[in-house]
Amino acid sequence: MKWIKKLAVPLFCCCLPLFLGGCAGSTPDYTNPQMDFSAVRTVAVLPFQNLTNDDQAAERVRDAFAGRLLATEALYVLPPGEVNRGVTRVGFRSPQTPSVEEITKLKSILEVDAVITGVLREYGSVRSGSSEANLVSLSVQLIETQNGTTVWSGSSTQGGISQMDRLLGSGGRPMNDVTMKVVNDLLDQLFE
Amino acid sequence: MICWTSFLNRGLFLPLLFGMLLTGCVGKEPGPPPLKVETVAIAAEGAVAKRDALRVNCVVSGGAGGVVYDFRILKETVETTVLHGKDPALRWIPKEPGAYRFKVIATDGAGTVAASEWSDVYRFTSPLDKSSLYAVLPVENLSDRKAPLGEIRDGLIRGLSAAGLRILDDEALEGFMRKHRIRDVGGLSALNGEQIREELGVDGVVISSLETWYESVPPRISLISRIVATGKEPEIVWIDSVGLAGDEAPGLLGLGRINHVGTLLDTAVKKLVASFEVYLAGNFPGFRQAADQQGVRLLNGSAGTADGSLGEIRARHQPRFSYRSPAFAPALEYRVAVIPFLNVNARKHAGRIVALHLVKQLHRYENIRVFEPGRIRDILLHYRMIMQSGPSLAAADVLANEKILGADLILSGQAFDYQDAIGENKVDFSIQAFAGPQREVIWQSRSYAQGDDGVYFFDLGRIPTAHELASLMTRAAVQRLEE
Repeated sequence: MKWIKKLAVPLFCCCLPLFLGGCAGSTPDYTNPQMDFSAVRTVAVLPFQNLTNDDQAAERVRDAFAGRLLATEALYVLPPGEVNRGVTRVGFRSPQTPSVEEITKLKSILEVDAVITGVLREYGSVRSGSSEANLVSLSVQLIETQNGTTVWSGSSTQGGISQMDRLLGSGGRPMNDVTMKVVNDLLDQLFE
Repeated sequence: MICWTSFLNRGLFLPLLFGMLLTGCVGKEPGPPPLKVETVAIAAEGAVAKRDALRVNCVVSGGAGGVVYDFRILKETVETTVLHGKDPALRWIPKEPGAYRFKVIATDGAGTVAASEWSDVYRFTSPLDKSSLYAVLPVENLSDRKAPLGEIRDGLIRGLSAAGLRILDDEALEGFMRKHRIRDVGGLSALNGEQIREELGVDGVVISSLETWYESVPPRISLISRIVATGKEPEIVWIDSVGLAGDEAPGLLGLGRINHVGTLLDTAVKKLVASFEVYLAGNFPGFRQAADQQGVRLLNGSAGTADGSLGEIRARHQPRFSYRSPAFAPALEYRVAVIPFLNVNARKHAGRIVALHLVKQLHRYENIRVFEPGRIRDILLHYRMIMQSGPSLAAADVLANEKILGADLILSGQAFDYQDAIGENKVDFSIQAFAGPQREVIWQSRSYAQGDDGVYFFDLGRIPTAHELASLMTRAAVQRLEE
């Protein structure tokens, strides 16, 4: 039994960072320290850029993100139909990647303090051996409409195949649940 | 040391007491007379029995400052506030038949409250009864596949006739539809509602939408039916739905399986007709807001509907998240326009199906008047409103305009998934509501569920049809909005 005692300390040292890592929340990629976020009352969530194979995935995730953001009651989120009206009136070349001029024009039409743009990087199932699980990866940016500068940026990836899935052969969580985890993680980053 | 006896002995106490008594006699500004409800006059506009408006006028005397009036209505022991404000008059049209009593509670600026007695009972009957003439429109196909629509309509006509209802003959209906070029059988516009009453004397129009039709074993069928009272402003008086699957109750050794879709159709029609008969008898279940802000009360029990969705709502059918504006008062009366949902990646007509389920669930609340979807469609077409991402505030303004529709709330949303094919059922949608006059979002929710959620042993708790799943989910969302 001596070998157990010998291994205990190195094993504990190896596992400690993993445990500590699990306790840490994810942090935003960028936060402008000069920005007064309390001044942002109304936001418009623009259509997300879709880098996945699913044509409608970005719209699904955008709806979940905008709805969940409104449900926090911290910000008023303009309805998608109204955002679409603003996008049409401004004449965005690509609403997923707006220019500074387009954003400042949008401010005068929709009277929003900020816009949120996003890039959906992954939305689908991943396979490893016999295991399969859903994976969602999203990054979003908050752009204030006064100057068109990015004041906050965050990203999150949730789902995928865990060690437990590999060992037990489970199929992961449904796509909607994974999407909600990503959205909640991003909102935690935004409001932390 | 001064003691009480010495104080009295000094002769100071009596003059002091005398002075206090005199002060009490000094002339003081007379205050306003106390608030009192003098009369509550109730007058009918038109024939009360046919649910025309009642006008309630309250006259008060006395009181300090502005008076606020709280109009209360009592029906079956449930008291509801229908109007709260400075207007002493109420124009009220009952949504559901029944016996109602009225009362006014007035509160002045000083907080003094005066209440009238409960009025006499005013009875309202349904605008439709068994002697009314009904037109059964051809069935709208929302099932995304071929279905014997004529056969289904014949089944409905047989069922309604067997219940003793008068049905307009096919020739007259076809002539009317041809004359007025009616192509959409999924609703009744205001113009057609008026024309069909004037030209054919039709009192009610039966509008049915076929949601699911599968003939292969196990068969499935889902139907949503509503009856709309005709006139200048067609109004839904009854709406219900039924969803059946051949394998929903297989029983021992599968003896309870139904393999023929015709058997399911007969059962579905019987359930719908029975539900309408319950309505005609004045016993249709409904929710009524209680005036004590203690939520809603279910009247007439949870049985009686064809969809059977008034039972307990499980957590897995609740919206996954929801937002309700603090400014929204659920107990007040609202006129609601439900716009077909935007279809995002779901099967064909999913947006219309979810919207119809929502209309059905909202209609069961007595404080909510849902506009006939045919009227909304007509307005959207008239103003050429194309809503690629749901309604904008400009679109909501049109529907909220008193001269056009006068909706207080505009409900819309997105349907992301609606799987009712053989296999596991899945429904996924979001709902959004605008307050028309305030031009802001007052409700947002997202619901998704599968038929086998929470099922671990022997299919116990499985929801057999997407129709039932959608029914439960929309009911849960409306319940959260209203309570």
